[in-house]
Amino acid sequence: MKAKGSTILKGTGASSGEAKGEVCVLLTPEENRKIRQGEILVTRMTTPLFTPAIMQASAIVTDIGGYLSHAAIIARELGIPCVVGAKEATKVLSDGEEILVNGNEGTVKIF
Amino acid sequence: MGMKALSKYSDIDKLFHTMAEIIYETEMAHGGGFWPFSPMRLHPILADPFFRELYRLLKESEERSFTIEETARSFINPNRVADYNFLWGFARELPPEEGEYVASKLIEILKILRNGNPFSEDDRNTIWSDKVVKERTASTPFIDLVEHPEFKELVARVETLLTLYAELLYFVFPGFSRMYHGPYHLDGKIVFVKEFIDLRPTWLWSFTEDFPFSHFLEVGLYKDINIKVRFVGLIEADRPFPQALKSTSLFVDDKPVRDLANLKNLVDAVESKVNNYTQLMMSYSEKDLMIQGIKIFFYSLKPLYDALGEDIQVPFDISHVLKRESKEKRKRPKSLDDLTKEEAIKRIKQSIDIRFRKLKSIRVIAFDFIGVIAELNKDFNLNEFMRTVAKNSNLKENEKGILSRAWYEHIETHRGDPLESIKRIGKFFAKTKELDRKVIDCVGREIEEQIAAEFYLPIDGLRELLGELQQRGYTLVITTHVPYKTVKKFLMVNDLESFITKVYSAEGGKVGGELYQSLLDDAKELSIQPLDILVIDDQTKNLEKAKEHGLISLLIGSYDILKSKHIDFTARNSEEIFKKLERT
Repeated sequence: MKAKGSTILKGTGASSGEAKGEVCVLLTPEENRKIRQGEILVTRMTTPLFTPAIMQASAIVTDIGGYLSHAAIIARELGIPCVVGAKEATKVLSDGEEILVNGNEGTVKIF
Repeated sequence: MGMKALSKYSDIDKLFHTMAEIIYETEMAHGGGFWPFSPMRLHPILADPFFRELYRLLKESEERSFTIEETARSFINPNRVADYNFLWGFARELPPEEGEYVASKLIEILKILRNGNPFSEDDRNTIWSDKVVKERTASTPFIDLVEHPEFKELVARVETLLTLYAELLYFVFPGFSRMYHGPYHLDGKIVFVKEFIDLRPTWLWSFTEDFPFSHFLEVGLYKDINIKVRFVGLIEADRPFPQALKSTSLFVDDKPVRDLANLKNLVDAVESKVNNYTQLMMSYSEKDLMIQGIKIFFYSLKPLYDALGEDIQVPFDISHVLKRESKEKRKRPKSLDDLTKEEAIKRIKQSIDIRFRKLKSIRVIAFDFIGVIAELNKDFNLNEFMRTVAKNSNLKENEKGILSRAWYEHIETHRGDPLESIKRIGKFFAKTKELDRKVIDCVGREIEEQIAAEFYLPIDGLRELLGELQQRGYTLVITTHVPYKTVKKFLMVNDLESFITKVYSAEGGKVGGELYQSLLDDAKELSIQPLDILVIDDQTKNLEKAKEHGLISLLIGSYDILKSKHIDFTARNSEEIFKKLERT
């Protein structure tokens, strides 16, 4: 049971800021079309093949990666919050869940 | 007292140290996951042929009297040049002197392209001089983003798209296109320039022909942000760029973009192209992408090929190499987790520093020495040498067959150029697995005897020999039981001082093994590999000790060697030998 307001994931805050939105888990770039404008992209790691999805996202959360990872660099460029290295984000989070991503603290909370 | 490191290497040392730091940090902070594949797969295939081609092109430019300034400008983006250094750890067959030449040229090029700040030691990529920054900001009309916030998101979008596009085109080396520079500090403002070059690389990707532009430039004025640009163009910022950007000025293909509608159209066009290309890229097979990965590096040399009037070429059969790659077991690098940062950086530096990989084994060193002898000693007869090897060996017939094959393939084809022949046979023996260890030992033994016999040279020859060995990167030390003063005087009188890093004399009470231990301790302190040290001694038994300590050695002055050659020495006592050499 995921309690509202509880921190469900902790990783590295790689791009500061906060964003609220619905989760869209993408495991491969072939699923890019699934994401809608303003949703939060949750994936194992990003690559340039996720470009269409990244450009729709309001925040990014990844399972792996550090401060110099691809997702971190891209999020700082785009100016959206990003938490990397959140280990099991793609398993813990499900499509449509409302979350709050805090890129300063590196946390993901249920909203 | 430690050995004095040779000053001419200080820049190269800094290059490899900086790269080791970058590799360590990216290893720790990247966190894994590369697109389209790990560079660990590509670099072993690429490193040797790429550096050999780069060496050829740089030499050719030099021979054609291109100035280093002209050559440097043809690389355009210093991040490209810095990125090449990721390959050093994988260059296994590159002759060390060629590697050292390339490394020193890359440093010179970076000095020019970065206005005397080749290693970005202050975490700045200083492509523009202070004067240029002043001129460009004075002449550039800026858009105030406080007054016109609607521009901000579009600027962020286009730069994110271009960053992703640069990765799509150049894989893990977006720095082949992305050229962020600064931060520059001007009248309390932070000036940071975001540039992307080569956005239509049609030789590499024909579909890029319809990309809306080839060059993008934004001069941004920022506030309250700490931006670091590392040696290879990696960017660190303590907050997202759009949050700190206060004013902007945009150019595509040198034309200013100041109108919001134009900018929006431009962003839409870029987004549409990048999305299409991304889709297209998904249809490439892994093999296709590997081939592209190799071509990317040679493409980055295009301006140099153009300047020399040559077509770009990938100087090996890519598909053949890829076939081999798929069969080879990929080695995982040793984990750095258990090491301190300093230890890890030291280990990485040693693994990438081409000079530490100079020679692979004592046998190869022996071949290198024979090469020097052959070059300096007109009497050296390679045919004779090989005949003696065959005669004195206890090889079986089939082993002799292997030896003769090597002989014909690697020596006869280079008749008349003993140095080249020896270099080639040295390499052949070092890497040919089919050769029995016994054959290698047999050849090596003979070489060692020949070294002892042939290293006798008159003083001019000795000077020339030591100079040549020093050029090849050996640290030359003398171990002797002769008083320190005598040796120093000998070196001074004969103008040999500059070749010798240190004299280890036994007169202080240290003998044999102790002397070598102290030498090795000094070497460790200076990160000099034992195989890069040449011990010069006058007694065979001492050199045996040197060998036990893993050092290579040069015998000088013993009676048996000297008596029948150019100088008529009869003294057995090394002190007398030094004195006689002094007088010669």
